[in-house]
Formats: sequence, structure tokens, C-alpha cells
Amino acid sequence: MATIAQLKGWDSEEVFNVDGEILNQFSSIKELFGNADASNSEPLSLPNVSAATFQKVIEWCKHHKDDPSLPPLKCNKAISEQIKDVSDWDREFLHVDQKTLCELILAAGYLGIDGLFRLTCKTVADMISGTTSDENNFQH
Amino acid sequence: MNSSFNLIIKDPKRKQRKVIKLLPNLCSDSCSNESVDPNSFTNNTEWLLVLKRVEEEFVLHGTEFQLSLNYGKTYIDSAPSTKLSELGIVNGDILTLNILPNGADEHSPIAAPTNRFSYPKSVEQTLIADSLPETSRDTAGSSTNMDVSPDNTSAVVVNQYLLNPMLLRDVTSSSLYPAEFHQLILENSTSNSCELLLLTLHTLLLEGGFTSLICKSAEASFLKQITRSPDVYQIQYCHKFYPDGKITVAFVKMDQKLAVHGIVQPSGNISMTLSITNYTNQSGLLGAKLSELSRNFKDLFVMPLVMTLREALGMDAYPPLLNLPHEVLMAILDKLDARSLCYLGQTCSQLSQVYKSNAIWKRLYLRFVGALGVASVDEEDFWYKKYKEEVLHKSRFSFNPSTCKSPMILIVLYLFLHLSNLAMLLIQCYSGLTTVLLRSYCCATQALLLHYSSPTAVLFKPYCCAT
Repeated sequence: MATIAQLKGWDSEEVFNVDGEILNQFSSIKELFGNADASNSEPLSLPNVSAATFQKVIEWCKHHKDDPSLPPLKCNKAISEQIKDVSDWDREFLHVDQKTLCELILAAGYLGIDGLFRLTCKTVADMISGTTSDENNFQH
Repeated sequence: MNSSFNLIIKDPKRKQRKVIKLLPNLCSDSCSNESVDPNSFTNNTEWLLVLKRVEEEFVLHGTEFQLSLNYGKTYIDSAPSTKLSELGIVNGDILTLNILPNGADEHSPIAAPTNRFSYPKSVEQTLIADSLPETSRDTAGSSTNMDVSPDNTSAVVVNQYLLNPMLLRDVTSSSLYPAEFHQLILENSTSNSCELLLLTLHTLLLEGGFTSLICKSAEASFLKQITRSPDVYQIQYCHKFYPDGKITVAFVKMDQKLAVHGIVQPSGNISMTLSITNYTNQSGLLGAKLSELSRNFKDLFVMPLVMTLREALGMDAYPPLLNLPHEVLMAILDKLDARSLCYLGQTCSQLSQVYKSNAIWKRLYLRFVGALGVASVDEEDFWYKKYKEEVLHKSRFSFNPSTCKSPMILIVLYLFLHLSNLAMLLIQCYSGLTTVLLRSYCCATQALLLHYSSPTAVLFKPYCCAT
């Protein structure tokens, strides 16, 4: 699919060409582009996302572009019960240091990628859960 | 009829099966006598008696119900005085019980919901997103018959609360709001769209980890307290993480816009302007727009405000987990179990501020207990305390070896040590020769105790750390 949006992170001039399929997953900024062909216009800078993180986000979106839309969470069940299955690809994808993981959460929240947001929150919760205070070194 | 008459009643929903024994009344003349056996029946009240007995047996308390014969789909709908023989019921028949939910259409008994997790329409329609049991009682009481059994009522309240999203960003329709937000709106009873938006922004700031300094947010006079002059409102906040810094947020209404200014004391100023008509209409807030509002306000106002505050206090960049916005942190903590939460709260002072948050513990409590006992109280750590009491209560009175291994280990160890002490006493009585042996045995037991006491202490930590 043709490029319809040009985006870049706040910390570098590297421009990412984003096609419609991926842009559709960015629920918070997809309206900005609409149907217009933005390939010639100025690239848009994302204030809260760094280039390295955005690279990862696009990688995740490419892999998950065919996923069905997520069902809304049922609040009367423990959330951890509802999203049990993290695929191997995702686990490998999220095998990063904690700083990157937190940047991914921020980016997913900012761009409105619900699937990635839930996945990363769950990953962090899994890292915390079941550890004692002494073992818990997530923030150190 | 001169022998006893048995009917089997099955309740497929509750998976109960009971046999009703009816005795034929031999002395039909004395049926007006009070001393007559209540289980006996005369021919003219047979069906009524069956209905009464079913009501007693299944503890229905006036709930409407229907009976069908031999797994049939049609329900017996006859006058109470009908004879059993007219209905085709004979000794040994199986009747299937169907309990009608309150206010349900009597003509669609098969589709009638008896699912615990669906609450009666009357409650649903009032859209009380509140968690107070009084409210639900009032709502349920307003319908003609309070037909829901107590068990069902508590299920209703719980699920109503858990159906409410925790954060404003998760609001999808204009019916279900976070409970605290709903209460704030109800108590301030404003129809002014500007004030509605203001209350929403206030809630978003609270979600962002700010606490208001002036007054308790849920008080009815909240709007009066923050009004400085017509169209100008001012609230003072401090952040949970940085209690030293004070922030003043001023809301100024300008025509159809609401300008928000955040002033951080020594230096720094964040401003944002919102169009009131974007997020509200004549009838109130637009639920579908709330997540957009939440996103915009948090990205453009709350986050920069926190960052400015941090700069003003001369702080460095924070480690990753604490660097996350407050509401993302809450979303993560909501996925944790109680034990992990307690451990996390012990790791640093800032997390110990967050982990006791009422919103999280209330959800944990409701998931754990499944019923709402007491009305909510304005105490800061109310739900945390309640959860703690409940856990302690359960661990004291119900023993489930599969879930509480640590008390079991302790008990086994305790018994073992006492028995060994007793054995030692006996040995000492009978022979003084084995002293050397005994000493070594003693050392071994003590070593065992020492060895076991440290892991048990660790296993006990969730219970201990709750204190």
C-alpha cells in the first residue's frame, strides 16, 4: 500500500513512511491524515515517541496488522485471566530492557494502539507479580 | 387418595432437586382446624398447597415462579384451587421449577434471565454507576416487588461496580462512568455544560496523581468552594509523588471555550484551551468523546504539568516504572494480585503512595469477596483495610491446603516438635544413658527449626506485610 503518512520521532530526523494499514492501528492520530496523500508534505514529528521506539512500534504493527479488533475488557473478571496467551513472537519482541519497555508503553498509549498497550502493561505486571520486595528490581 | 403423594421438584438453574411429600387429608371435615397437618391437603386446594410447599422448600420468599410438568416447555398456569388430577399430575411426577426474575415478562418464561450476572432491568435503566448498597436498594425497591433474593442483590451491586471502567479513558458509552466521577457529578448536580467539563477535567487531574488541597472532592459544595468569581474557578493541587510542590490550576470560561492554566509555584506555566461544545451538548457530557478528551488533556496538560513540577523541585529523570504517567501505572497495578501489590508497595516511598489507592483495592476486594458489605467511607485506605481484614478472616477460619501451604507447614512443624519433645521426656525418664544421643537429636531439631523458620517467614510475608 502506498505511503500515506510521514512521521518521525522527536529525537532524530529519520523519517518513517507509514502505510494505511499501519496507520489504521494508530487510533489517536489516524484522523489527522484522513484520505489525503501526505507523501509530499512535511513529516510530522511525534512529541512523545523516540525514533528507536517508533521503529519497534511499527515492527509490532506490521506483525499484528491482520489481528481482529480486540474485544472490550470485561471488568468483572481479573484482567490477567483474560489476556493469558502471549504469543511467542510477542514474548521475543518484548524481550527488551525496561527502559525500552516503558517507552513502548508510553508510545502505545500516545498513539492509541490498544493491543500493544494491553500487551505491554501485562508484561510489566507479569514482571512485578510474584516477586518479593527484595527481588523486585524493576525500577532500579 | 389414601396414600402419600410424592412430587419431585427440580431446579435446573440452581441444580437442586427436592422431593415434596404430600399427605392426603383423611379427615376432610376438620380442614379448618389449625391443628391439621400442613402437609395434608384437601381436594380443593391441592395446587395451592404444592405452590406453597415449593416456595418453602426452595426459599423463594415471594418470588414469582412457574412449574412445568415432566420437562415440558409449557408452564402450568392454573387457578390455585385446581385439582392435581385435572392438571394431569400423578404420584411421582417431576416438576421443573423456573424462577421468574423481577419484572420479567411472564409470557416468555423460557427466555427469562436468571443468570447471576445480569441485573434486573429496573436497576440497569437508572444507570446508577454508584457502588453504595443503599442506592441499589432504593432502586430495586422502587420497582413494585423486591423479588430478587439477597444473594442476587449483592451480585447485582458487585457487577455493577466492576462494570464501571476505572479510568475515564475507558468510557465508551454515556451510561457507564467511573463510580467516583459519577458520584462527583451527582452530588454537585449541575447542568451547566462548562461546570460538567470542569468536573471532568478535575477527575482527569485526580487520575493523573494529583490530589486537591482545598476540599474533599466528593463533597457537594465542591463547585462553590472553587468558584472565585463567575466563570473563574481555582483549585489547588499537590502531586502524590511530590508532596512538596504546590500547583494552582485556574479554569476560566470564555464564551464557548474553557481555558485551563496550571501554575507551578516557583516557575513554569502550562496552558490549554478546550472547546466546551466539543465535549458536551444540551443533555450533558458526551460519553463517546471522553476518551479523546482524556487523551488530549493528559498529553497536553497533565503530563507537562508533572514534568514542570519535577523540574521546579530540581529532580532528575526518574527510573522507568516511576517515569510512567500515573494512570498507566494504575493500569499496570490493576493487573496485579494482592501479594505482588504489597511487595511492590514496600520497594519505595513513591510506590507505597500509589499501591494503597482505593480504586485498585476496591476492585481487588470485590473480586475476592464477590459481595459488597458496607457502604463506602471517605477514609483514604478504607478498601485496603477491608481487604486485609477479609484475607485475615478467611485464612483464620477456612483451611484450604492447596492455597495456604504456609500455615500447614507451620502446623506440621509445630506438632512434630512437640511430639519430639514428649519423646525426649519419655526417654529421659527411662534411661540416663542416652544423653549423648539426645544432645545430638536436640541439635538436629533446632537446626531443623532454624532452617524452616526463615522460609516460613517469607511465605508468611503477605499476611505479615498487610499489617
